[in-house]
Amino acid sequence: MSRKSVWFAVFFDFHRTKTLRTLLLSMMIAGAYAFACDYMEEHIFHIDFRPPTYIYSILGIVLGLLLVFRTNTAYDRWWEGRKLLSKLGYNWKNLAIKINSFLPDDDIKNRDFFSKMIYNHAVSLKEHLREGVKYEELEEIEPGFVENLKTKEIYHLPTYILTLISDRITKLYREKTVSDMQFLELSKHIDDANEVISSCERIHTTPIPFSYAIHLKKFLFVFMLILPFGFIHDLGPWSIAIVMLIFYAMVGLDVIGEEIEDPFGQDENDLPFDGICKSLRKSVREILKIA
Amino acid sequence: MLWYRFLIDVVRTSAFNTAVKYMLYFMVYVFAVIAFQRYVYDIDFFVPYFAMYMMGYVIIILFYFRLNNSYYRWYEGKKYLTYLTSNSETFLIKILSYLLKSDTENRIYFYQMIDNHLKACNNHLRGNPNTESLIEVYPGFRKSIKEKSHLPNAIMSQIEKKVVELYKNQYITRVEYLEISKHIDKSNTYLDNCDTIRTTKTTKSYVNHIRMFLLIYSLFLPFAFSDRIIEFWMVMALGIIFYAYSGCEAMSEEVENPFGFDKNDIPLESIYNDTQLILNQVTNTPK
Repeated sequence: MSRKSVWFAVFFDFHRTKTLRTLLLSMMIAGAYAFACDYMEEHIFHIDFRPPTYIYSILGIVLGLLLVFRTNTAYDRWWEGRKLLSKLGYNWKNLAIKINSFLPDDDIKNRDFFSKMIYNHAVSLKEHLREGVKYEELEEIEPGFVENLKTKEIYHLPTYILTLISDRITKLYREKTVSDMQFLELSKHIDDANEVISSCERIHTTPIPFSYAIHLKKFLFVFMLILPFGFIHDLGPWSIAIVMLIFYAMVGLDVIGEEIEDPFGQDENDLPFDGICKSLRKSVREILKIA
Repeated sequence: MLWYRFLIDVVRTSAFNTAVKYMLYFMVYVFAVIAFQRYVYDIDFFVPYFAMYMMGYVIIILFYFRLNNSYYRWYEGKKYLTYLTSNSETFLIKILSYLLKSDTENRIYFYQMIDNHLKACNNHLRGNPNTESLIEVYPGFRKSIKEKSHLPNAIMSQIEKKVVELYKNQYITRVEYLEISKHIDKSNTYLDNCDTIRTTKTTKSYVNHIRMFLLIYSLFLPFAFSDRIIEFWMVMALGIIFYAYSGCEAMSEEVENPFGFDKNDIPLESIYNDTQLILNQVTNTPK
């Protein structure tokens, strides 16, 4: 039995949990605030401010709603991102399968072109969604191809590569290497590829509406402000631990939502885009019989 | 990385302002109730807590429905808009692949027409159709569509006409014509989908019911805490509870219609600018 299958094994992994690391400082601050409240109440002011417990319950209902909404929409994007990546994969593999049967076996030049361009497209999309394209990852179609791209300062490389693929398909058709029906079949994949680019960019550039995100945060903040007063009279300094625990549980969800909302980074939780590109390259080369 | 850094952004939303305004009204009401109970007449009326919980759960479930609905309207608007721009890009990529490199006149015609179409879509979705911002593709172009009520359709039908002309003159082949037609269809479909979101209001009876429910709930709220109602800090505590609920309502309303000029609305301008750069790049890609 592997260690992961024991669910409480997560306790032993806690030093690797990203949410905990991100939140540690903020949790400390919340704890310090609880300590300050406790100290002031006991030694200085004695206000005896005791909000009834049902205030927390009623607020808790709203918090629950907002958190589930946040988690749901963020996960929805993450999952949509995953589906788009698989669409990218099968779309290009289908194109490769068709190209393979349409082209004669000895047409190494075109087979090579498509296998490399498909990989270039995926890789440039991947880096486009991160910090800008890394030219050294691209494959050379002909000597000097990548150098040439670098000097041109292209605004949007994935679309540029798609344009080149489309041009090549049209050329094959005009040279009568592929028939008109075959040309129609190949063209279909250009649409899907561009749809994937745009949709990935949409997920990358659109966070959830600002007012949603901020309402939840504001509200969590106010909740945390009044939270210590629910415990300090009964628990004294122990309330620090409780406040920190509740802070971790609730704010943690918000932080996770923020993190998985844009799934194209390089975090632990992000989609394995690098691996997808690599396996795409492998299978496309295999299909097109490029050694 | 500090979680608290969002606090500087708090005042930027308009939902903030609306919800805070209503919260202040509500706090005045609670204050009045408390003052009345304390100094004038103790009416000795209270709502049991569990009634408030129960109603609270129902209201929250209704709000989940409402929040989700308006979010998905917004998201769908964004989605179709992406399809629309992506379709225009593919359209341009294909037609430029089909045309000869030397055919500068037609290449520029399609670039400018597709650009115009996107611009017209933007203006249409914002309810502000005008021809001034469009490129004068050929002399008299703006005048030819000035009287039309639906500019994107008018532009698309001119493009379609041109495509048919190219096909008849054998600039493009039969199947290339089929491919291009597909994009013209799609473009109209996507625009109409966006338009549906823009023109269809959410079901009034649901919205009003939720609002009414919330109003009644908050009117009874001070009486639920009858053992504490004489303490003035309850104004603050109840204010926060009310704010939590009415904020949900305020933001659902704000996001419901995504094609406006709000901060939360879809940034049509910047999407158009990005797409325009891509169209420009496609046009300048050497064959």
